Amino acid sequence: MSDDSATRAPRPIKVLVVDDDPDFVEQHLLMLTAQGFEVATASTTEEALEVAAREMPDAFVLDLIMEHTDSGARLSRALRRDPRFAQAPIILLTSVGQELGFEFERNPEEVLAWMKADAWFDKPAPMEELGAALRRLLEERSA
Amino acid sequence: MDIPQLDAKVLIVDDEPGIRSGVRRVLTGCGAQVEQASNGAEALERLTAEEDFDVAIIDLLMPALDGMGVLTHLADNESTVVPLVITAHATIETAIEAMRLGAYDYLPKPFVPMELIVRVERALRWRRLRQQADRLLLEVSGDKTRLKTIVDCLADAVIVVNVENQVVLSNPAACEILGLPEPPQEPCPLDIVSGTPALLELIRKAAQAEGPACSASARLEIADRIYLARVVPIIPSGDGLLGTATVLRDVTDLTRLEQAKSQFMSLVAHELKSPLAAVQGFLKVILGGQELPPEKETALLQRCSERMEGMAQLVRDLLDLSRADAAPARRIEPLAVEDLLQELVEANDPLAERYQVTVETHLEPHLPPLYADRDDMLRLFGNLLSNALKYNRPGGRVSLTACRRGESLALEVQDTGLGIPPEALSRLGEEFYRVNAPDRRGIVGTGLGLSLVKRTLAAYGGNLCIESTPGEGSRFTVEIPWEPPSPE
Repeated sequence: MSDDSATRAPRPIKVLVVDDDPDFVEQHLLMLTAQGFEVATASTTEEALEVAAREMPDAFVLDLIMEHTDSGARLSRALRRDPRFAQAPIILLTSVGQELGFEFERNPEEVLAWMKADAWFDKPAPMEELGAALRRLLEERSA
Repeated sequence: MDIPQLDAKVLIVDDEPGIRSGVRRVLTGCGAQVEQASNGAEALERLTAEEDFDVAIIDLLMPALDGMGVLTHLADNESTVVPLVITAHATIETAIEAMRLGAYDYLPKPFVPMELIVRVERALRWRRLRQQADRLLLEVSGDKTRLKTIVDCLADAVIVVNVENQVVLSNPAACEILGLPEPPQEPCPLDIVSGTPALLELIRKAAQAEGPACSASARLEIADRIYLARVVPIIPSGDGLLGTATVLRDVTDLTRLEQAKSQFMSLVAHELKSPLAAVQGFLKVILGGQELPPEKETALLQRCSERMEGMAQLVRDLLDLSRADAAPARRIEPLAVEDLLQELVEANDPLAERYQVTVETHLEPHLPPLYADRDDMLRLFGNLLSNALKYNRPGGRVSLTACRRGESLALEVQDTGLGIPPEALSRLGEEFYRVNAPDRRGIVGTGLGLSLVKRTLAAYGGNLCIESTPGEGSRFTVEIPWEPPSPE
């Protein structure tokens, strides 16, 4: 799979993973790297904006609940307002979206549109699907 | 035929002594008490002076004041005596006139004793019925007053509306909740609730209901408070709609409690699911066949084990938290502060060793006993001590100081640790809040410890003061009364 994508993309896709839980940062780093992505990490909203400006990632994987119960959505909207990232795929990860009143399962399109994100996964995210979604979204953007 | 017993006080009014004595003889024979008057004026005198006459037998034709005059007077004065008239010149006209003036019955002269007895008996029965009716009427109006008093005392607002959309009953609570300047004159138009359109709508909806079961309920917000409104159509069996009865109950505090509880449950779910997901994720990495150096694999498994440990601690803390509010489970006993601190330090020895921190205690001599539940205190101080150990630096110190401060025990826990950023100070003690900074990653904590401390202190009427200098350390000071406040 990594060979296949390497032939299509001259440079690896760079993903910024943002999560306040270091264990999730680590496992996403390990699994996305194994799938041929280049991974940058941040653990707060503030750090994420810094790292994004420095690393210019192609896509984002954001934890929904960090400092606040909707930190990921706030960060997502902030990134969308930035012309450099307005088109970048953003995937939200959550462990208890439903319980907080975000109706991901019942009404995914509406919630995602409101959060300005492209997809969401329940934690722990199925890694192949997460990787495939990132590639698919990037291909749609460049098409 | 049996002679009936007449338990009555009777006045015979006649200018003929023969009639008077005849009537007296007959009625006394039946057990009645009989008094006599020889003309209308004298009769009125007696009837006014003694109010306990049951029946007055009045001759219509008398000198001075005649029978008609007596009847008129009795009617005007709402007398309770039952008048019977007797007349020697019985004509239908005079009888009708007498009845019109309030006579219950009439008796033409001459009459036989039995005729007299039967008529007096009927008059007495009628008097009893009338008295019963009066008493019932009095009771009904008493019930009404009582009900009105009860309705007025209710904390819930009560509004009764008739089919003409008029308010026919409202209590003071209704006026207050709906912001009416003064109790409305009833009936008044329903428009008085027009300031609350949702309520108006609800009342109209209930008024269109098909049956008594069709009550309408809704939560309404009125002036920053939340009310549960219930409108019930009033439909007596078989009849049509008579109106609606509305009750508004203030559920603000209840609603806020529910919201806080459900928010707490979401946070609990998040805090429980996160470590589970982290462990699942690591296991997927390890089982996913990815090439990992063996030490990396061990490190990941180590993290899994720590997350599971954290989760177990979280469950313990949750149970403690629910216990912190449960006063009946407390066993208050005198505790020696010295023993308490010693037990505390010993229990935390392994943690002190792990974080390479030394613990020193300073105890003011001759401290009085602390009246509290031993487990509560161990948990409370244990949380502060373990925080001071965990958020310290290798080679650091924790000093525990216990002293008298007014009517309270003051216990200081001073550490030489990481300190708390000023912006985080106000959020400490918030459930599940933990300072997120690189220097405290990997420190296992649930974010419930300080919240538990605060809840326990609240139950004992104590308080907590936190001072901190980032990079130098923090000082947590607990003040707790020597004796807990007596439960209300």
